[in-house]
Amino acid sequence: MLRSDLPIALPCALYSGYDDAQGIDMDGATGDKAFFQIPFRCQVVLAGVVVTEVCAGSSTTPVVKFDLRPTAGSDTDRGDGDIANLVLSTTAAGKVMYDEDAVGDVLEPGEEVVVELATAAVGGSPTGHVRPFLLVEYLPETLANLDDMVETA
Amino acid sequence: MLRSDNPVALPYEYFIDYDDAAGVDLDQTAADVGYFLIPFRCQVVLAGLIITETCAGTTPGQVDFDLRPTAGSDVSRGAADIAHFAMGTTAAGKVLYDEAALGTVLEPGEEVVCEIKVRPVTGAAGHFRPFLIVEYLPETLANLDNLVETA
Repeated sequence: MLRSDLPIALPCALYSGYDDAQGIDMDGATGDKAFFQIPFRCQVVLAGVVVTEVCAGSSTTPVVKFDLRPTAGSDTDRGDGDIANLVLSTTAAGKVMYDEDAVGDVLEPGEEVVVELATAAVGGSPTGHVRPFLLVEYLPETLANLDDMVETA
Repeated sequence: MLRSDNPVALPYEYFIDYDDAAGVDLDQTAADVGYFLIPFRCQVVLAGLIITETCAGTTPGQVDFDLRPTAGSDVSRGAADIAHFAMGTTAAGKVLYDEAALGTVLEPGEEVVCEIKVRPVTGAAGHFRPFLIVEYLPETLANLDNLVETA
Protein backbone atom coordinates (compact mmCIF):
# COMPACT_ATOMS: atom_id res chain seq x y z
CA MET A 1 0.00 0.00 0.00
CA LEU A 2 1.28 3.46 -0.85
CA ARG A 3 1.39 5.58 2.30
CA SER A 4 3.13 8.65 3.66
CA ASP A 5 6.65 8.34 5.06
CA LEU A 6 6.46 11.82 6.53
CA PRO A 7 8.40 12.14 9.82
CA ILE A 8 6.28 13.45 12.68
CA ALA A 9 7.66 15.08 15.82
CA LEU A 10 5.86 13.57 18.82
CA PRO A 11 4.56 16.12 21.33
CA CYS A 12 7.09 16.70 24.12
CA ALA A 13 5.96 18.09 27.47
CA LEU A 14 8.62 19.45 29.81
CA TYR A 15 7.86 18.75 33.45
CA SER A 16 7.10 21.74 35.62
CA GLY A 17 10.31 23.39 36.80
CA TYR A 18 12.33 22.07 33.86
CA ASP A 19 11.04 24.47 31.24
CA ASP A 20 13.74 27.13 31.12
CA ALA A 21 13.64 29.44 28.12
CA GLN A 22 16.57 27.43 26.74
CA GLY A 23 15.03 24.05 27.49
CA ILE A 24 16.26 21.50 30.05
CA ASP A 25 19.18 22.50 32.26
CA MET A 26 22.02 19.95 32.11
CA ASP A 27 23.67 21.06 35.35
CA GLY A 28 20.62 20.44 37.51
CA ALA A 29 19.76 17.32 39.49
CA THR A 30 19.49 14.06 37.60
CA GLY A 31 16.01 12.63 37.04
CA ASP A 32 13.06 12.63 34.67
CA LYS A 33 12.59 15.97 32.93
CA ALA A 34 10.00 15.47 30.21
CA PHE A 35 7.98 12.91 28.27
CA PHE A 36 6.77 12.23 24.75
CA GLN A 37 3.13 11.39 24.29
CA ILE A 38 2.40 8.54 21.85
CA PRO A 39 -1.01 9.24 20.30
CA PHE A 40 -0.86 6.62 17.51
CA ARG A 41 1.04 3.50 16.50
CA CYS A 42 4.35 4.55 14.99
CA GLN A 43 7.99 3.60 14.55
CA VAL A 44 11.03 5.57 15.63
CA VAL A 45 12.88 7.47 12.90
CA LEU A 46 15.27 9.63 14.92
CA ALA A 47 15.73 10.62 18.58
CA GLY A 48 17.78 13.59 19.64
CA VAL A 49 18.26 16.87 21.44
CA VAL A 50 18.93 20.35 20.10
CA VAL A 51 21.71 21.87 22.19
CA THR A 52 20.96 25.50 23.11
CA GLU A 53 23.82 26.07 25.56
CA VAL A 54 27.25 24.45 25.20
CA CYS A 55 27.70 21.42 27.46
CA ALA A 56 30.60 21.42 29.91
CA GLY A 57 31.75 19.99 33.22
CA SER A 58 35.22 19.17 34.59
CA SER A 59 34.07 16.05 36.50
CA THR A 60 31.23 14.79 34.32
CA THR A 61 29.50 15.94 31.15
CA PRO A 62 25.81 15.31 30.57
CA VAL A 63 24.18 12.11 29.39
CA VAL A 64 20.50 12.14 28.43
CA LYS A 65 18.47 8.96 28.02
CA PHE A 66 15.13 8.37 26.37
CA ASP A 67 13.46 5.45 28.17
CA LEU A 68 10.39 3.57 26.98
CA ARG A 69 7.69 3.15 29.60
CA PRO A 70 5.44 0.28 28.44
CA THR A 71 2.77 1.59 30.80
CA ALA A 72 2.34 5.35 30.72
CA GLY A 73 3.02 6.88 34.12
CA SER A 74 4.56 3.70 35.55
CA ASP A 75 8.21 2.64 35.89
CA THR A 76 7.38 -1.09 35.76
CA ASP A 77 9.52 -2.65 32.99
CA ARG A 78 10.83 0.78 32.09
CA GLY A 79 13.73 0.72 29.62
CA ASP A 80 17.12 2.27 30.21
CA GLY A 81 18.25 4.37 27.28
CA ASP A 82 16.47 1.94 24.96
CA ILE A 83 15.13 4.72 22.71
CA ALA A 84 18.23 6.91 22.89
CA ASN A 85 21.43 7.28 24.89
CA LEU A 86 22.84 10.71 24.14
CA VAL A 87 26.40 11.30 25.32
CA LEU A 88 26.58 15.06 25.10
CA SER A 89 30.20 15.57 26.11
CA THR A 90 31.08 19.20 25.22
CA THR A 91 28.62 19.61 22.34
CA ALA A 92 28.25 23.22 21.24
CA ALA A 93 25.06 25.27 21.08
CA GLY A 94 23.30 24.88 17.75
CA LYS A 95 24.34 21.26 17.31
CA VAL A 96 21.82 18.42 17.22
CA MET A 97 22.93 15.27 19.04
CA TYR A 98 21.04 12.23 17.74
CA ASP A 99 20.85 8.49 18.19
CA GLU A 100 19.61 5.99 15.61
CA ASP A 101 19.77 3.03 17.97
CA ALA A 102 15.98 2.65 18.16
CA VAL A 103 15.20 3.21 14.47
CA GLY A 104 12.28 0.97 13.60
CA ASP A 105 11.16 0.38 17.20
CA VAL A 106 7.38 0.32 17.28
CA LEU A 107 5.59 2.55 19.80
CA GLU A 108 1.91 2.22 20.69
CA PRO A 109 -0.65 4.39 22.45
CA GLY A 110 -0.61 3.66 26.19
CA GLU A 111 3.19 3.73 26.24
CA GLU A 112 5.34 6.81 26.70
CA VAL A 113 8.97 7.82 26.26
CA VAL A 114 10.56 9.60 29.21
CA VAL A 115 13.48 12.02 28.92
CA GLU A 116 15.91 11.48 31.78
CA LEU A 117 19.00 13.43 32.71
CA ALA A 118 21.03 10.34 33.63
CA THR A 119 24.33 12.12 34.26
CA ALA A 120 24.47 15.81 35.05
CA ALA A 121 27.21 18.24 34.11
CA VAL A 122 29.33 18.57 37.26
CA GLY A 123 32.54 20.34 38.22
CA GLY A 124 34.29 23.52 37.18
CA SER A 125 31.63 25.73 35.66
CA PRO A 126 29.07 23.15 34.52
CA THR A 127 26.74 24.23 31.71
CA GLY A 128 24.32 22.90 29.14
CA HIS A 129 20.71 23.24 27.99
CA VAL A 130 18.88 21.04 25.50
CA ARG A 131 15.51 20.67 23.78
CA PRO A 132 14.49 17.03 23.16
CA PHE A 133 12.69 15.71 20.07
CA LEU A 134 11.52 12.32 18.82
CA LEU A 135 10.70 11.79 15.15
CA VAL A 136 8.46 8.90 14.19
CA GLU A 137 6.66 7.50 11.17
CA TYR A 138 2.96 6.79 11.46
CA LEU A 139 1.94 3.11 11.20
CA PRO A 140 -1.75 2.70 10.32
CA GLU A 141 -3.63 0.24 12.50
CA THR A 142 -7.23 -0.58 13.29
CA LEU A 143 -8.10 0.80 16.74
CA ALA A 144 -9.47 -2.55 17.87
CA ASN A 145 -6.03 -4.10 17.35
CA LEU A 146 -4.33 -1.69 19.75
CA ASP A 147 -4.37 -3.38 23.16
CA ASP A 148 -4.47 -0.26 25.28
CA MET A 149 -7.16 1.58 23.36
CA VAL A 150 -10.51 1.63 25.16
CA GLU A 151 -13.54 3.24 23.60
CA THR A 152 -15.57 5.25 26.02
CA ALA A 153 -19.00 4.03 27.13
CA MET B 1 11.03 11.45 -6.57
CA LEU B 2 7.52 11.04 -5.30
CA ARG B 3 7.21 12.55 -1.86
CA SER B 4 4.61 13.97 0.47
CA ASP B 5 3.69 17.64 0.25
CA ASN B 6 1.56 17.44 3.38
CA PRO B 7 1.94 20.52 5.58
CA VAL B 8 3.40 19.86 9.02
CA ALA B 9 2.99 22.16 12.03
CA LEU B 10 6.31 22.49 13.85
CA PRO B 11 6.16 21.93 17.62
CA TYR B 12 5.75 25.19 19.53
CA GLU B 13 6.85 25.64 23.13
CA TYR B 14 5.55 28.52 25.24
CA PHE B 15 8.19 30.09 27.49
CA ILE B 16 7.32 29.97 31.15
CA ASP B 17 4.91 32.75 32.21
CA TYR B 18 3.75 33.22 28.61
CA ASP B 19 1.37 30.27 28.68
CA ASP B 20 -2.01 31.74 29.60
CA ALA B 21 -5.06 29.58 28.94
CA ALA B 22 -5.80 31.80 25.95
CA GLY B 23 -2.22 31.66 24.69
CA VAL B 24 0.27 34.53 24.73
CA ASP B 25 -0.91 37.82 26.22
CA LEU B 26 -0.11 40.62 23.75
CA ASP B 27 -0.51 43.26 26.45
CA GLN B 28 2.87 42.84 28.12
CA THR B 29 6.43 44.04 27.87
CA ALA B 30 8.11 43.23 24.57
CA ALA B 31 10.05 39.95 24.90
CA ASP B 32 10.62 36.50 23.44
CA VAL B 33 7.58 34.41 24.32
CA GLY B 34 8.24 31.01 22.78
CA TYR B 35 10.00 29.07 20.05
CA PHE B 36 9.49 26.51 17.29
CA LEU B 37 11.71 23.42 17.32
CA ILE B 38 13.10 22.40 13.91
CA PRO B 39 13.60 18.62 14.00
CA PHE B 40 14.21 18.07 10.27
CA ARG B 41 15.08 19.98 7.11
CA CYS B 42 11.99 21.74 5.83
CA GLN B 43 10.73 24.83 4.05
CA VAL B 44 8.27 27.39 5.34
CA VAL B 45 4.73 27.17 3.99
CA LEU B 46 2.84 29.52 6.29
CA ALA B 47 3.48 31.42 9.52
CA GLY B 48 0.59 32.63 11.58
CA LEU B 49 -1.19 33.50 14.81
CA ILE B 50 -4.60 32.28 15.89
CA ILE B 51 -6.20 35.20 17.69
CA THR B 52 -7.97 34.13 20.88
CA GLU B 53 -8.77 37.59 22.25
CA THR B 54 -9.52 40.57 20.06
CA CYS B 55 -6.50 42.84 19.68
CA ALA B 56 -6.82 46.50 20.62
CA GLY B 57 -4.77 49.59 21.42
CA THR B 58 -4.48 53.07 20.00
CA THR B 59 -0.91 52.03 19.14
CA PRO B 60 -1.45 48.43 17.99
CA GLY B 61 0.80 45.54 18.91
CA GLN B 62 3.31 43.79 16.66
CA VAL B 63 4.65 40.24 16.76
CA ASP B 64 7.70 38.86 14.92
CA PHE B 65 9.02 35.39 14.12
CA ASP B 66 12.84 35.55 14.02
CA LEU B 67 15.18 32.88 12.72
CA ARG B 68 18.01 32.00 15.08
CA PRO B 69 20.74 30.28 13.00
CA THR B 70 22.16 28.84 16.23
CA ALA B 71 19.55 27.46 18.61
CA GLY B 72 19.63 29.29 21.93
CA SER B 73 21.87 32.10 20.66
CA ASP B 74 21.05 35.57 19.36
CA VAL B 75 24.19 35.74 17.21
CA SER B 76 23.10 36.59 13.64
CA ARG B 77 19.45 36.40 14.72
CA GLY B 78 17.04 37.61 12.06
CA ALA B 79 14.56 40.45 12.51
CA ALA B 80 11.09 39.31 11.47
CA ASP B 81 12.68 37.31 8.66
CA ILE B 82 10.16 34.49 9.06
CA ALA B 83 7.09 36.63 9.78
CA HIS B 84 5.91 40.05 10.89
CA PHE B 85 2.40 40.53 12.24
CA ALA B 86 0.73 43.90 12.59
CA MET B 87 -1.96 42.93 15.05
CA GLY B 88 -4.23 45.93 14.50
CA THR B 89 -7.67 45.19 15.86
CA THR B 90 -7.86 41.61 14.59
CA ALA B 91 -10.84 39.83 16.10
CA ALA B 92 -10.83 36.64 18.15
CA GLY B 93 -11.17 33.57 15.96
CA LYS B 94 -9.30 35.11 13.04
CA VAL B 95 -5.98 33.72 11.84
CA LEU B 96 -3.39 36.34 11.03
CA TYR B 97 -0.75 34.98 8.61
CA ASP B 98 2.35 36.05 6.73
CA GLU B 99 3.74 34.44 3.58
CA ALA B 100 6.93 36.54 3.47
CA ALA B 101 9.16 33.55 4.27
CA LEU B 102 7.45 31.09 1.92
CA GLY B 103 10.09 28.65 0.68
CA THR B 104 12.72 29.61 3.28
CA VAL B 105 14.68 26.49 4.19
CA LEU B 106 15.08 25.63 7.88
CA GLU B 107 17.54 23.08 9.23
CA PRO B 108 17.95 21.23 12.53
CA GLY B 109 20.12 23.25 14.90
CA GLU B 110 18.29 26.44 14.02
CA GLU B 111 15.13 27.67 15.72
CA VAL B 112 12.40 30.22 15.15
CA VAL B 113 11.64 32.53 18.06
CA CYS B 114 8.30 34.24 18.60
CA GLU B 115 8.67 37.77 19.97
CA ILE B 116 6.26 40.45 21.10
CA LYS B 117 7.97 43.30 19.26
CA VAL B 118 5.63 46.14 20.15
CA ARG B 119 3.28 46.17 23.12
CA PRO B 120 -0.07 47.79 22.33
CA VAL B 121 -0.68 51.07 24.13
CA THR B 122 -3.88 52.58 25.59
CA GLY B 123 -6.86 50.26 25.71
CA ALA B 124 -4.52 47.38 25.05
CA ALA B 125 -5.83 43.82 24.62
CA GLY B 126 -5.11 40.63 22.74
CA HIS B 127 -4.10 36.98 23.08
CA PHE B 128 -2.77 34.68 20.38
CA ARG B 129 -1.43 31.18 19.67
CA PRO B 130 1.50 30.96 17.22
CA PHE B 131 1.92 28.31 14.52
CA LEU B 132 4.45 27.60 11.77
CA ILE B 133 3.56 25.26 8.94
CA VAL B 134 6.35 23.69 6.91
CA GLU B 135 6.94 21.08 4.24
CA TYR B 136 9.41 18.29 4.95
CA LEU B 137 12.51 18.21 2.74
CA PRO B 138 14.21 14.80 2.80
CA GLU B 139 17.96 14.90 3.31
CA THR B 140 20.70 12.46 4.24
CA LEU B 141 21.66 13.01 7.89
CA ALA B 142 25.36 13.31 7.02
CA ASN B 143 24.57 16.33 4.84
CA LEU B 144 23.07 18.31 7.70
CA ASP B 145 25.90 20.37 9.18
CA ASN B 146 24.60 20.57 12.74
CA LEU B 147 23.76 16.91 13.25
CA VAL B 148 26.14 14.94 15.48
CA GLU B 149 25.63 11.23 16.10
CA THR B 150 26.07 10.25 19.73
CA ALA B 151 29.12 8.26 20.82
